[in-house]
Amino acid sequence: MDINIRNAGEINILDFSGNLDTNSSPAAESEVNGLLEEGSKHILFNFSDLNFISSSGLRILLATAKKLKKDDGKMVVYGLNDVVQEVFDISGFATILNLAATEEEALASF
Amino acid sequence: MSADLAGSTAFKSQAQGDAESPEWLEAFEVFFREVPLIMMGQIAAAFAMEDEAPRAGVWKVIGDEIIFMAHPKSPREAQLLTVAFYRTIVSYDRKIFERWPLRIKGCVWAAQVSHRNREIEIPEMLGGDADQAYVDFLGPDVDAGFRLAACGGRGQVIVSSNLVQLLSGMEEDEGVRFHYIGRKVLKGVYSGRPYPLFLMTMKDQMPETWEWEPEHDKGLEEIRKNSPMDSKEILELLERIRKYLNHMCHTGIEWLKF
Repeated sequence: MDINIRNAGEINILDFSGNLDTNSSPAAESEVNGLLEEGSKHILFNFSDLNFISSSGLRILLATAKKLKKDDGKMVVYGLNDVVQEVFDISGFATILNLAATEEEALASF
Repeated sequence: MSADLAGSTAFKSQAQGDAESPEWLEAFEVFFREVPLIMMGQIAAAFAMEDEAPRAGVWKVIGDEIIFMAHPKSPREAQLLTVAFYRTIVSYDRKIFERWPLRIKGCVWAAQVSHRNREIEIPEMLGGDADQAYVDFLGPDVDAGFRLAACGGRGQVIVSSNLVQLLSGMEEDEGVRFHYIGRKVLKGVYSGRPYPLFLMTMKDQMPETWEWEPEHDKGLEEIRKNSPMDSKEILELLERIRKYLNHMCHTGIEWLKF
């Protein structure tokens, strides 16, 4: 799994590629926590090139959403492929998190 | 927290499908994929009003059993994790049975890592990450949990006595109810003295599946006959049992401390 971080104004965009699973989650969590510690309050998770996400990946999203909510921040996840969308549907995360189809739509929601 | 697939041995021997992709294989793949996802969703729901959710995830997969582990930092976190797990088991029992002749049963147990139960690094095991070896947990309460997990019935969630004691002492019960269904000797646990068995239900979500296979539903008759015990009764009963077990064997019951 790779994560590329870029910015759109005050919004941090994390481009994920590969699989976000038990093996890759610690590295991903470290990246996200690094942004939060720097004071980031607006985060976009770009899953356009993410092939798969496991429950450990969902846990990172949940923890991030909680931290941002506490700091009056916001996160949006976009670009889910069919496999990742199914994971979100089964777990119920599709109704828990803010989702968008495209980056434009996600950016517009801030 | 153990989610155990029940009826899988018979299903594997009877299931249809071709040699390359037997039907039972798909059932197992779906079970291992979906239950952790649903559990994570239920954790998110249970902790919706909380500032944070505890770390929780799959600890082990043993045969047809998924064991989740979490490190609750407070009784409240332990309570909400138990609620999330209960809802996972009850909802998934129905879901999987609608698709295949399979059921799941659940067990929640707690082991305080202290002088009694210990964390142990096992460098030879795969599963650790680059910086840390695989970590396992050993101790009398861990052993008791594994034994206890075998005592529940299909669609049911059985809960360890130390956790029942903790949750029964909380002011806000979140709709959690416990049904005492008797005592049973768990091999090697408490010097062979019988261990108290409690099933969990919730006010707003009773299992709908218990009537389907009454021959497998241990404790069902007791639950039909008896309403859930109130917390005062539970605490008194458990204290009597604790005193008895601690008198009879060196490794009796210890209540959880936060």
